[in-house]
Amino acid sequence: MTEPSEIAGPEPVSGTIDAIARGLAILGGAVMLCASAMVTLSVILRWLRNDGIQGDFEMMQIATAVGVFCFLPLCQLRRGNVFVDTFTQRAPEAFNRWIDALWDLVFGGFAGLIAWRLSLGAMDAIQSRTTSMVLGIPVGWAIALTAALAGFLCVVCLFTAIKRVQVPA
Amino acid sequence: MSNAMVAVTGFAGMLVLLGLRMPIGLAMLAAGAVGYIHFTSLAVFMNYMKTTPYHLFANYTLSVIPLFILMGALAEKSGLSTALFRAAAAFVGHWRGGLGMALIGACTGFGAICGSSVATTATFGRATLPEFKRFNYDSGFATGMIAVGGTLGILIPPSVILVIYAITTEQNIAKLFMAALIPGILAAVFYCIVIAIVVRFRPEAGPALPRVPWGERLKSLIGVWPVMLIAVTVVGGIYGGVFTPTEGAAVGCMAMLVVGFAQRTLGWQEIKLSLIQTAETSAMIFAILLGAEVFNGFLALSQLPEMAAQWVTSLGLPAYGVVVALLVFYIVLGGVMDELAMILLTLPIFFPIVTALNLGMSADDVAIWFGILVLIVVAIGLTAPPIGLNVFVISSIAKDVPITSTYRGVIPFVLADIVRLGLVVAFPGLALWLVRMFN
Repeated sequence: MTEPSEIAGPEPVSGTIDAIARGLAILGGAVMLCASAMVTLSVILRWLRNDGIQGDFEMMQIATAVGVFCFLPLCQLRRGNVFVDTFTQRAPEAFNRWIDALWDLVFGGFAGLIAWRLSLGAMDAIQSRTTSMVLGIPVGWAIALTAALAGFLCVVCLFTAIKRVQVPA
Repeated sequence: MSNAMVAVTGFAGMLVLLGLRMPIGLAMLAAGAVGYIHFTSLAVFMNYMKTTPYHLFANYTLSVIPLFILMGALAEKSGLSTALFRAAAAFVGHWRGGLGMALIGACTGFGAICGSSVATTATFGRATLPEFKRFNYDSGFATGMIAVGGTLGILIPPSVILVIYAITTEQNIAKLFMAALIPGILAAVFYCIVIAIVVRFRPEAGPALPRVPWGERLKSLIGVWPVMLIAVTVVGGIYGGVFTPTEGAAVGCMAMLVVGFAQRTLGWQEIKLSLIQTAETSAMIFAILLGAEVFNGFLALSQLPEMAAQWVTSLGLPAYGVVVALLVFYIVLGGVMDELAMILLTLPIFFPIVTALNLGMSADDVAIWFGILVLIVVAIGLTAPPIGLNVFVISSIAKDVPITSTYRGVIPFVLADIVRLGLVVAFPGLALWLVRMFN
């Protein structure tokens, strides 16, 4: 159904986008690891002195949202998103290439929409000083970060769309 | 157009997009967005998109998915799968078909730390195929066993599919993990019985290996027990309510790192690869979750789920008949569709139907029990022809084995799965006994 394949070639643009996407994926994973370390510490403290880290779950929530948005570009770049090719196996290769490029554009459109809407949501949250319940973390900045990451996802989608029609697979 | 017609049109439109190679998450997102706007307005949808993508992912319960994937990836990169397989083979490899049973045993152990069937299949495909070849196992039998063994990744808790079920239906993850344990172990036992039967009729398919002395058998356990201890701690801690599933997964990740450093099996390179693998798998799942969120928002607006539940209840069909019909539908649909998307799309409609049935159990029990049934049909869908994702995974690794041979190898195991499904339908206690004991 799916096969991760390298779309990026050796050209400078491909190299840069690939490097950023990989870097973001590792960064997102590192964020999840740090959150895990914090939660583990909280569990140990709770066990030792019956009192864990206050609001550890809030940090984990923010880490998950930021982490996932860090993961999305690499998945798109490597074609990790599941699709069904059962009905188009016999279709001409060029047809599949163009339709895949079209879906990349649609995905890019949604990613752009999400980036735009989230940035407005972030501004609302920053202006109204919305904070998390326990720790008082200003959530708006976290939303702004995910908006920026969605923006990069949009760029990656446009890039994969161009790549698909350029290079015969 | 009536609301129900709109919902059905939305469904059909989404299926057409799927058929035209649109990624599954995107197809749900696009069809869902159009339907959502139809029932509300563009302004409402735009407002919905202002916060939903963030708040959907900033979810404590959902964080368990990337964490369990990461824990499995770290275990894989630290060489756990190979160590488990070697240890199991040392104990039972000298039986006829023993290497296959060792694979099933190793998959069961790995399943206790990995929550994904595709990851389990890929891991064991790479780790064990050369061994099966070396000892002259029938190639289709071997790849079939690996594809089936991979399903133990989700059948044995932790399980990504159960987490998704729990979130979609607002059930308790810990209870679902408990309920999955006995049916999961039963699966492993059944697979071993199938192997024994197959080699009885075709001894050449699974030759016996030389016997391994006891000293070496015990030595093979050294590389295995620390990680298995982690698995037992994580799952046991979740069962016992010592920590939440997210905490369990976080502790498991940290413990994997510590053990990996101590045993010198995890270096910077392995950790980096684990993070990248986690990123790709998690992103794939979360893209589908986002699409499902929007599509299910649209379905909820159409009120189709309630109408379907009322309609089925009004028919007065025998309750168990409805459950069986739904399961058959799942098996058929799972044959041609991605299982994760399948349950995300159907649960909003099926779950209210099932919990409204009078099955002689409490609604909570029905919800947990149905989750285990869904898990079993998902596992069947992952291996059964014509589209079994696990079979595709193993085929991409074993390029010299025709996919039809793998499917032939899989079929006896699928039959065993159907028997097991029947057992859990007939005896809900298989799933519910452990849950009742812990509460």
